[in-house]
Amino acid sequence: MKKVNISTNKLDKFAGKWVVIDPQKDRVIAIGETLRDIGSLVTRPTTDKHPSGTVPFAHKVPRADEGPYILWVNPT
Amino acid sequence: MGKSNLVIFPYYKNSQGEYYPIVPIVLWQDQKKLNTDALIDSGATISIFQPAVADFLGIKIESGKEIFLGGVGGRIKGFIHKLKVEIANQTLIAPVVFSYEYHVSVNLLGRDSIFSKFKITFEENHRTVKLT
Repeated sequence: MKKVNISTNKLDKFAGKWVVIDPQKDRVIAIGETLRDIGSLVTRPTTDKHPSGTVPFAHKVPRADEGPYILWVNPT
Repeated sequence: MGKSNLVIFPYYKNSQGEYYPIVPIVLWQDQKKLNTDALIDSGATISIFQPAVADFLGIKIESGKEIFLGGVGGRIKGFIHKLKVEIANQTLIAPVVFSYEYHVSVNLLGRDSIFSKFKITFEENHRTVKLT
């Protein structure tokens, strides 16, 4: 994991990586190759009262060859 | 429908300038909560998350109920698990499919057990999604 402080407007630099986004500051604060790499920054005990969207969260930056998405799934 | 509690999320903008209704979520497993995000997908009957999420939470994917999913990309095999999910200040239990054949870099929030808990409004003009 590498700690950074970069605008979320520059997410394309991290295509294919897992990043940690601080939603309060709208900044990328860490980068990792895997979710495990950044896990310590995006997990909290179940007793934590912060609601979703107020604490740093994990985001997988789409690969450069992905999208636009047409996503439809249904049990067959 | 849950209690009235309007939460507005701005769309996520990718590097190509495309906007998506991706919202922050929290996944509960054992004694920890994982903060991540997912795309609200009305075209998905059921939620499907990246296998890396299962791995991180310590969920053995094959221990779930086997299911086959069809979609634009073809047919994939997955396994259903019940997960505690927090979305827009509401916590609920929802079926989530994990599949090693799912290679898209976004988690999908499908309709099953989720859409019935909210009134969901996509405001494309404002690039926001509202959950009430």
